[in-house]
Order: sequence, then structure tokens, then C-alpha cells
Amino acid sequence: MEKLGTPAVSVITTAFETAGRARARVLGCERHPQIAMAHPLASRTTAEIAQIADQLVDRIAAALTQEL
Amino acid sequence: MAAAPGTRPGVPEEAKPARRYCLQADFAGLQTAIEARGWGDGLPVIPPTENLVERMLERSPYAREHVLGIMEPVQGIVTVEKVAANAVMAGCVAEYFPVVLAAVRAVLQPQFHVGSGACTTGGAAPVVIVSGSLAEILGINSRTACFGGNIKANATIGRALRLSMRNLGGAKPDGMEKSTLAWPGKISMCFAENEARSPWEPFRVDRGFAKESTTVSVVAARGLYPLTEGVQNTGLGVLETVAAGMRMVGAPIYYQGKVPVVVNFSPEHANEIARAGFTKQGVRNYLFEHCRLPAGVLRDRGYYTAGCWPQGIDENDDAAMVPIVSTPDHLWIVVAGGDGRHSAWMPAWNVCQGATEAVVTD
Repeated sequence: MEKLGTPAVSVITTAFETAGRARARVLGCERHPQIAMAHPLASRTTAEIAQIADQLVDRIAAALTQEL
Repeated sequence: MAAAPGTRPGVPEEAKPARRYCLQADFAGLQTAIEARGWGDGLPVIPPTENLVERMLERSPYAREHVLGIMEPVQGIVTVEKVAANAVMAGCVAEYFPVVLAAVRAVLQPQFHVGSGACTTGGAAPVVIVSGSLAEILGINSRTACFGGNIKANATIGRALRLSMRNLGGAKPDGMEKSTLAWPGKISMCFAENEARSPWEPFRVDRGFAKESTTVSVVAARGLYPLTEGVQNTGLGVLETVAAGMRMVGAPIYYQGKVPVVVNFSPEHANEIARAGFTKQGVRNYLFEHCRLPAGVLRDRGYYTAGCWPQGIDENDDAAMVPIVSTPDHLWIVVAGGDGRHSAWMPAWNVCQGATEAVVTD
């Protein structure tokens, strides 16, 4: 998406930080922003997810608007 | 030399020779050096010297620089020469190389989703099924203990595929390999169809290939689930037990049913089932109808997401019966093994639809 001109950010859990950076490097997007939340994700309640989203939203917005 | 299979758009047809490294050490020192570079799988490897790789390449139907595809997730360029080096490291003899090439070509097919399978927490490992006369000629075991890896051809062909995936695709522990547990198939899992004791048409025919061919089918399987039936002595009795064993809460396949499930019958089980009047299609239909679990049991468990079940299943109806796969054709019926009353099933993982390639020898 970044290459097509649409700002993008990956939101992942900490377990996938290394893999995410490696994949971004392979795809030629080494500076692609990545924001990690605590692992795990799958077993969270909807309320917990909403709380995490509230915590991350400013960082996500900043990552989407920063110059790479 | 065979006409090399074409590559996909954007993938070069040829690549430069693989990089050479000069390592001077005794055998133990070479193991340490190879392991330190991350090229191994924890077991000792045969150092891929130029002369051993050359010997492997002599059995290749394609030129050494030919590009077979791109190995995800790190998008390594897969040349015949690089696969040969991995086959040497795995311990293959040169005669096995066409089978290794077919296995690598299979996992490079887009519907295999090799990168996804290599990086998932689900621990999927490639299961290699060889069907055809070459299996017997090469000594790929289809009989007693055929899943066990204790026969050279089985152990090394499966390992050559795994080393190729690992070294060219880059999914390694502490990096992009994210299996929560994995299973020993990540080292090697290769066996042949026991055609001599199968009552049905060969597996390669099911996969759309000629009876005269030898094929390699690969599927990224979540694991190996044994199924024992030692009391029932009718084919229907065996099938009832097999279906009951596959009705398993906690098997993600009930949420991912658009991918294959390998159902491997031992020769005794298969022949009893055939004597009861079941063709292979009959077995597929039986299992499709009987390997079902109630939506009320599956919902909000395992890998449930809204819309994960086939059309026609009312997700809100607790009594709706969810089939293990979306169509009977996703059930891959294979006969392998020795004497005894033990069969097994191996569900594919997530998006891997499996792939089959014919073995090309010249």
C-alpha cells in the first residue's frame, strides 16, 4: 500500500516484531512503520481490544502522517 | 535436458550461480561452521562441496541456473543449483534429485502459500506423498513404518525439501519461523503410496495425472493424528471409527475447511473398506457426511470467525452440522503403511491447498 501511495502502518503483537521487520526489509520498505502491542491478541475481549486501540491510536495516526 | 517449466511474471528465468564459500575445517569443524551460518536444521549435514553438488546436478532435467521460483517469506531466488546444495546437505543420493525438484516445484505453486505456512504459529510442516513406480525404484518406503523417517530415501527427500524451504525462504526460529510448537515434520515427512496393497486407483490419478507418471504431492499439514481400529472387522465399522476420530473439537480444520485433509488408510483398513463396497469416491462421500460437528459446539471456540463455514450453514443454529471440509474433493485418500490396524489423518493448515507435480527425470 505504501508503494502505491497510500500511507500504511502495521499493527502487530510483540511476538511478530522480528518477522514484521524482516518482511518489510524483503519488500523494500525498511522504514515501514510498525506498532507492536502486547501479545496475545486472539484471546482478548472486545472491551480490552477497544482499550488497546485507544492507547495506540495517537501513535498510529502519527505513523500514518510522518515522512518516511 | 527437459524443457524447463516457465516462471511467473516478474520472476527471472535464470539467475547467477550460487555464491561459493571457502570453509577449511575437519568434519566436526564444518558442522560448527555450517550451523553458525544458520544453514542446518540441528542435525549433522553433508557439506555441500562443489563435486557433490555437481553429482546431484547430473540428475537434474533442468539447467543449474534455471529459476524454479521465489521462496517466501524472504523471497529467495530458487535455482536448481541451490536446491542441489540443499539436497546434498540433507543426505540425498543423486538419484533422488528429480523427486526433490518436484517437491520444491510443488511448494512454489501459488496455491501452496509456502510463506504463510512457514511463518504461522500453527506449526504446519510439508508432508510429501510420492505416487508411482519411481517410488519403488528409489526405495521410498510405502510399507512398514513409512512415516517414521527411518529409511534413507524418505528421511533425506523430506529433509531436502525442508532445508530448501528454510535456507531459501528464510523462515528460521528466532526469525520468521513462528510455530508455537511445530511437529517433527519440520525435519522431514515423506512417504510413498503402497500401491501394491491398495484396492483403489492410484493417488496420482485422483490428482489428475496419468497412471504411468510418478508424482509428488505436498501439503502443509498441521500434524499427524493416528486412528486405530483393531476390533471392528467390517469396512463400515472401520469407517465409523475413522470418522469418529476425525470429529475432533480443537482441530482447526473445522474452521479452515477449504483446504485438503489427507486420510491415510493402512492396507488392512483400506481392503476391508473396499470389500464393503466403497470406492474411493464412496469413502470421500462417507467421510464428508459423517465428519461433522454441531455449530453450537464449534462456535466461539478454536479458530471460529463469522463466515468461516460453507454457504448454507446457519451459524446461529446450534444444531447445524459443520463438515470437516467444504467439499468431498478436499479429502485426499491415500493407502500406505504395513501390516496392522492403524490409519491416520493429516489436516492441511489454514490456506495451503496442497500441490502436485510430476517427477521429470530427463
